[in-house]
Amino acid sequence: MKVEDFVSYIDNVILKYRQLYKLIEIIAITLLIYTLIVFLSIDNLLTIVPFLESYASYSISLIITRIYFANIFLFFIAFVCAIIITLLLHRMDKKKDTIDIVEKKYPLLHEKLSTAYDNRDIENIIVTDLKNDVENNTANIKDTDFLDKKRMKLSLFLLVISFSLLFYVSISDYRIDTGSQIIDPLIPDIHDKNNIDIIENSTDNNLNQSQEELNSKPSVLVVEGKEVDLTLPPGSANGLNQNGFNNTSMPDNFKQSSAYDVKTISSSTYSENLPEGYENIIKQYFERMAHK
Amino acid sequence: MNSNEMNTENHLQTYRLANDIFNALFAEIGKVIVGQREYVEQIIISMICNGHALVESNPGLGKTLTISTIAKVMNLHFSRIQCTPDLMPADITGTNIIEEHGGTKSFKFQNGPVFANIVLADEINRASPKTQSALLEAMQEKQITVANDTYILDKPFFILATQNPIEMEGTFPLPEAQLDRFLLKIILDYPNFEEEMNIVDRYTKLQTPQVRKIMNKNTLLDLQKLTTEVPISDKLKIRAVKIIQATRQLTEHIEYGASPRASIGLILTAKARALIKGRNYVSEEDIETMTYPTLRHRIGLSFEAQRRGITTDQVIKEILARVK
Repeated sequence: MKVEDFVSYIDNVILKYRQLYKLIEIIAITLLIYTLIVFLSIDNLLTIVPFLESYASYSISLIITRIYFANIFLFFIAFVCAIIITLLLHRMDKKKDTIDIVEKKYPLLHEKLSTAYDNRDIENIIVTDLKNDVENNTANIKDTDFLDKKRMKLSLFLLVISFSLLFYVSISDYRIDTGSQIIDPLIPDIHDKNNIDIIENSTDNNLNQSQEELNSKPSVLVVEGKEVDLTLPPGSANGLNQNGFNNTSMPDNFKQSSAYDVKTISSSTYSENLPEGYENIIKQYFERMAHK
Repeated sequence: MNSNEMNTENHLQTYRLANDIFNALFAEIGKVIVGQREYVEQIIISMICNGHALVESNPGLGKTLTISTIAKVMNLHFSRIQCTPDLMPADITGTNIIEEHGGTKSFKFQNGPVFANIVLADEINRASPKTQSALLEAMQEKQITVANDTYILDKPFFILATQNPIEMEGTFPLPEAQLDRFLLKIILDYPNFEEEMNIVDRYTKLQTPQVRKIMNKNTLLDLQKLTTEVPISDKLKIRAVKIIQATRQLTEHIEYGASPRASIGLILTAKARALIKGRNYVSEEDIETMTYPTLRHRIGLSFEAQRRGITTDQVIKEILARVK
């Protein structure tokens, strides 16, 4: 093989191996970053990004599992970061000349290959002799000689480690809730108990008021000097609480009574504040309506 | 087979035998000269680069013996000029003399000592500037002009000039322009103890060592041609030029730097060294080794550097360290 053909061939071989190293490193770094994202619960942050919040729960159903939009999005972020990191790590690669690599690997070709290559267009006795010398020395060089086994092993080791870490974090769901650490500075005093009460009171005022009334002393409504007992009938407080569940325990011998007696009850408002002169007529009307 | 094909065949033959020729040459010179391998090597490098060398050494180190031995081994015509202040240009170049044949008088040019293949100009700095400049044309153009007549000097033509560094009184230091015409400045140092013992043993006997002829003019001319054909990589070529340019940019110790002629000289001498070492390419080692003799006489140190006792070799070493 001619010197220029050999250099071109080895250039392609080295390029091929470099791409292979890069690919493995990109995969390994992507997995590592994604593992870190999962471990630090950064996926929770998606819910505070208004644009992404609505997509966070979207999912794609595959044969055995379901992949959520949040996972895909974060994996993509990890992939982009991995590409950037890998490119930065390999930015020096192009500066290494193929001829330098070959000469370093084969001391017999040291300075000979570069000289023969630079003088490939010159024809004289010495240059021809040099080219023949180089061609003889390059005849036994194999492609695999340029595979950096140490680097390849390191890359594969990194890949296995990153894959194992991701597998462990995913299976064990071992993660740190850093989401709150990031959200806290954004929303000050979010974990202050008083503020939670304020928020709850302001957002669910009616519910809290009724809860307070249920748990406190029976309220009495005073209408024009007359006390009206507003105590709810027994059992009426045993519905769903604000969390949606009834967490009050019932005694075993408890029998649920009906909320109200099944009989006609006249409204005190109507019976006691009737216009003068029409009391009997109105009473009779309501009594008839009730018996009807 | 025509003459062109014959030349090519001889050329090829010389290349095949180059390594053996150089080994035999050094072995033969080594019979007379003890040690001084680098010195002899650099003189031969100058010769196969078709250049000239300036040797600086103390007296009694065998400069004349070395160069006369080289001339004998190479089967070349050797002449020696002892330079003195009263030496005239005609004493070097030759002059027209009146010759009478059958009652007819005519001028005949009598060749001077410069008409040789190897000329030793001993203590050149003792000659007057006028006489020194007479050597300029011979060195550069390989020809001399006397009374409007130009005479081409025989090939190969090589001048080895020497100068004594310790006796500077009554001397005429060579101007920079003339120094630049020397391809190399070789510094010859004292031999070590073992070498000196060997010298004493060898030259205190009745019979002095004799040498045999190893090559001839044509072989030397072929070697000169081969030297130009030794390939050099672009990387080394760039480094060589950067080294020369650095002598002009490093103004801390240098008053004036080397000319582009130094770049040519450095690459050419590196090629010659590669050929002598039996390589078919120039190595980085060749460039680094030949930088010293190529630049020594082409760099002018600043007054401050001289006052501090800095030598040109130290400055060259610094340049080599900087230019990688």
